[in-house]
Amino acid sequence: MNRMQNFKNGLIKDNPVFGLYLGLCSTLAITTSINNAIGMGVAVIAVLILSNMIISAIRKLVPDDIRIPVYIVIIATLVKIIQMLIQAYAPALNSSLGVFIPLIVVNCIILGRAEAFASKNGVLDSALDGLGMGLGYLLAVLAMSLIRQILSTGVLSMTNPFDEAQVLFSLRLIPDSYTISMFSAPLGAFMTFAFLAAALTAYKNNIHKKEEEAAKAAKIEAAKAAKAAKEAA
Amino acid sequence: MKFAFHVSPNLQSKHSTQMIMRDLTIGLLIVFAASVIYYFTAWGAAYGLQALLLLVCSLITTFVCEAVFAKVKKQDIKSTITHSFGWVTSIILVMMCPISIPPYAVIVATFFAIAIGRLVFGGFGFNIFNPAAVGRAVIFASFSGATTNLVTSATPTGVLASTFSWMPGTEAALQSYLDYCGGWGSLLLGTYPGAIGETFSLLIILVGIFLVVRKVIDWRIPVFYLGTIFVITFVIALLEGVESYHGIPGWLWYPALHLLTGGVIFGGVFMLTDPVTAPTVPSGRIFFAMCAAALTVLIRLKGNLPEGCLYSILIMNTFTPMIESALDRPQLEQMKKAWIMIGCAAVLSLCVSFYAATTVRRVNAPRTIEKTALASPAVFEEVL
Repeated sequence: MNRMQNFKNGLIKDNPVFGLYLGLCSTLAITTSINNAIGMGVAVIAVLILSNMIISAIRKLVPDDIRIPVYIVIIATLVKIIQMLIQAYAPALNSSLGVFIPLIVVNCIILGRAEAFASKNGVLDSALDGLGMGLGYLLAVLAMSLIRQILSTGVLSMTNPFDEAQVLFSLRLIPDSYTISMFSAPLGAFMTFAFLAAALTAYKNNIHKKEEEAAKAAKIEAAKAAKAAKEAA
Repeated sequence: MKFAFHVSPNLQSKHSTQMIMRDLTIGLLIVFAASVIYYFTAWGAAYGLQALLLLVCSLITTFVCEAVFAKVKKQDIKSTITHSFGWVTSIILVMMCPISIPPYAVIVATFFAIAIGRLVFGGFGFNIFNPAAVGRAVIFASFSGATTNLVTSATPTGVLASTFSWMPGTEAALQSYLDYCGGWGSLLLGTYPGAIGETFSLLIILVGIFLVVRKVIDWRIPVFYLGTIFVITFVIALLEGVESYHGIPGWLWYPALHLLTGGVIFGGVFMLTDPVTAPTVPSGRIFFAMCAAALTVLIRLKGNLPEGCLYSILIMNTFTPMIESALDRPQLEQMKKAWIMIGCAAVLSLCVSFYAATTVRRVNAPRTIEKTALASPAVFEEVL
């Protein structure tokens, strides 16, 4: 149950992008198309799970004073492996993501989870946390790239990342003359991000309010029941 | 003896927000009507109707946005619409657009101006940026290539920026430019294609004087804005050695050209004076207007954009809270600080003029410009 909770936290409540505001640089830069978003999301998930597991496994061996350099070495090694894999098998993705794949090393989500979670918890928990956070990141970049791609190009499309000639699906939703090209620019990224973050915060506030009300009602009920019991006695 | 007790404030101005906005709307509609009449007579009924269509589209979008927002916030729809004065924004926005813009672009721009430029910040009175300028910037960022089949010839502002780089230095060069747009009288009366509402300089000045007399707008902002532009361009003309034109010395016609072409008069009268986004301190307003003027000239002469008025307004709007807090002092201290700030702005303006004058080459040769350049869309050339 507790493990499930850890996993679910990363998706909505502590969503790394819209809830914790981590890793925004790459999020704003790469969300121009769904292809980029999925490629980046998968790379981040892989690095996050592996780094969380390794750091959690060696957490008792690492002296406290030099933990950050150790973490960085581990993360950098993993990112380099992922980058080489992407270069080998998905060159188109590599060229469109560009510098943002090596920049996963300094992505705050990964170091943040290593510091905040993996260095204190067991291997399985850390792996689950990494998966949850990574999926949260993937969901966030996917949502942003969907909005930005549809508004700026009018086409909902995706190509096979391993073979760019193969188009998986392509659907024109907005006629060409009605697209808003602003959304492919950084300006559109900031705007989309702000609105999605605001929506998530509003949703969380709503849940929080409901919980508080329910707690209040339960308290009143309990007091009433106690009073009734007293009177009956 | 009888004492009268009232709830404060006891000293009330006769001006209500409603009255100010009503006067402003009337002033804007006069300029808009003059422009529509020009398009009807000079270009044909389709063009005049297009101008009206754009205004109607913008107004409907504004009202729909505000109604939906009021519904979501569970407020009274009618009072929200009548108290947020969204129509002023939409009229200003349409007046800043060229006639060739598609209605769809105006609808999207109005949505961004009203919903994102204003309602998200908390509605009328809370917005940081001038909402109409936000809408125009959206059009510039998104629809710079979009046109309808109602295109006009290239606008004089665009021609002045692209062909002469704002610096026709000799009599012959100026003559070829004036031949294109129809002479000084035409520049004054707005009988040339451009943004719908900003070409008729004379009428805008008259409406501005009327609004100043009615105390709707503060005289300091347009006077210092246009005055600073005049002084900067005056210095530039002297440094560049701009030649005289039929006896008019260069230091006189060159500033006049800067003031009459493009949207500085419209921007200075209707947009910089927006009571929400301009500073409330009078001395702060002077500083605000002077800095905006320096930015306008700098963007015109050194930037990639043909016009600098719109972005100078948006940039200075970000500084408004800073100006306010800097001048939030006791009276004497505030005066001292304001003098220092205005002095700095004056020095900055002089630096701008020296910088621009030393780096911009003047265009000496007269150019022949095709009068019927119907193929060239005018949207991207006209940024307020």
